[in-house]
Amino acid sequence: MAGPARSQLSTHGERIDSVGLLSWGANSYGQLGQGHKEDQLTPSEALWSGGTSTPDIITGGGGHTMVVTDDRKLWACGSNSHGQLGLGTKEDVDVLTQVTFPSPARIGQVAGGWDFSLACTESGEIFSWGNNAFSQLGRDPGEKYSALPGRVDLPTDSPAVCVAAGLRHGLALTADGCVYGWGHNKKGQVGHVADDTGKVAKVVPLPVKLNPSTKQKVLQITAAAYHSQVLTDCHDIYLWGCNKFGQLSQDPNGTPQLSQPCCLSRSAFGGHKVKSVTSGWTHSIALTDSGEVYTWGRADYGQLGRSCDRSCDSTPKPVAGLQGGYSVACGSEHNLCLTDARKLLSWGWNEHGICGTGDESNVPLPVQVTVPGKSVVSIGCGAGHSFVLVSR
Amino acid sequence: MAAYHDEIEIEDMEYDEETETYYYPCPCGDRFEITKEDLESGEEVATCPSCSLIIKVIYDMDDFLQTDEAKTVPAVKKELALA
Repeated sequence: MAGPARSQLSTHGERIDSVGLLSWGANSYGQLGQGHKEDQLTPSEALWSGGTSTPDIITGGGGHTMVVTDDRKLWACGSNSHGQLGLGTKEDVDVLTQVTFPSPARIGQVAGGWDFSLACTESGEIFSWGNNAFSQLGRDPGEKYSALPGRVDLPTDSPAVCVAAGLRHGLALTADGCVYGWGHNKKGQVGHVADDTGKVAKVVPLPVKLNPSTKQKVLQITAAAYHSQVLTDCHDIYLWGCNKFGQLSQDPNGTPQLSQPCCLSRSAFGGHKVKSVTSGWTHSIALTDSGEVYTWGRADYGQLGRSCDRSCDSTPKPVAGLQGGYSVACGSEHNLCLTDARKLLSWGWNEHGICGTGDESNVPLPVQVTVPGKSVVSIGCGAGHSFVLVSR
Repeated sequence: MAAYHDEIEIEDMEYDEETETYYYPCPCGDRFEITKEDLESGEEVATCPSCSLIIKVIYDMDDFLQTDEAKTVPAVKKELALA
C-alpha cells in the first residue's frame, strides 16, 4: 500500500528508452492491468496504453492499481466498487485507464487505501476519491462515496508534498514538515483527536493537524492498516495507532494501541540513519543509509523476512544477509526490495503468487525474483499484488 | 490450518443491504464475507471467496436473534447505517 514516495528513475538519473511494466499476484478485479482476471504467479506483462508516456510511480490499494506517468498523468485499474479508480463509474477495469481531474493537474504522488485513493499534485493540492464510509476522503462528510477526484482542504497555507493512505484513514505531509490526518480513528490511527465528550474520536471527518514531534520536522509519512508512522529530519521514527502485532515497536502485551505517538530513535538501528520507512498492514520496514533492512511487527506469514519464533516481534531487527537495500515496497503481508545491484527480492505471504516465486508457499526469508528485461528500475505493491518497471 | 487471520468486531465490517452481507478487507484484495443469516444462526467465521484466510467475527448473538414476535433491525445495523 505504501510504496516509496518517489520514483527511482530520476534518482538514478537514467534515460530509459524502452521500459516494460510487469505485474503479478492476486487479480480478482483486474488489478494487474493485463486485460484479464487470472492470478499470475510470476512477473508478466501489463498492457500499457499510455502511448509515449512512461510509467514513473506504481502503487496500489486493496484491489486497485495506480500509475503516475512521467508527464504527471494518473492511470488506474482494478477494483472499482466504491469509485476508487476515479473514473466516474463503479465498474471494475482490467486495463490501466487515465483518470481525469476537475482542473488540469500534474500529479506528483499518489496513495491507495483499501477502497479509496489520494493524490498530491505538484502544485501542492490534494485530491481524494472512492469510499467515504469512514470519512477516509477527508471531504464531504456524509457523502457515502465519490467516484471522481475532489479537492481536500488542509487547514494550512503550506502546500502538500505527499499523501499516505491506510485501510480507512489518510495522512498528508506539507512543505513545512507538518502532518495532517483524517478518517477512521477507532485504533487511534489518525491520532489523538478528541470528540465532543473529550474521548478519542472514532472518526475524524476532515483533516486535522497532528503533532507527532513538537520539535522535529517530518520528512516522510506512512499509513498502515491501523497505524501511522513518520520519519523526521532527525532520523527518528514516530508511530501511533494499533499495536496488536507490535507494529509500533512496543510490546503488544499491555499496549494494544496508542493515540499519542511513541518514538523509535536511530539507536534502534545500530546507530545508522533511517533513509526511508514503509509498512504493510501490520508490519513495518526501515531502510538505513547503510543499506540494511530492519523489520518489526506481524511475522506469521514470513512478513519480517528473518527468523522469528513468535507470531510477531516488536523489536526492529535487520534482515540477515540483505545488504545494499535500495528501496522497499510493502503489500498487505508481503514485501519487495530492490537492491543497489538491481536484484529484486521478495518475502512474506505468497498466496495468489504475490511474491512472484512461481508457487504459493509463503516465503520466510528473502528470495530473488526472476524478472525478464535488462534491469528493474522501480517497484510497487498493492495489498495482494506486485509491480516492477523494467528497462530493456 | 484453522488459525484465524484476525478477530474483527462486527462494527468494523461494512454491511451491504442488497446482499444482506457483512464485509471486511482481506489482505489478498478481496473481501471476507458473512451473511446476516449466518450470523443469526450463530456462525462466526467469515471467509474470503478467493483465498484461504478466515477471520472470526466478534458480535453479540442477541443483536441477531430473530424472534417470532419482533423481527427488529439489529442495533448494530442501525449504527452502521449512520456511519
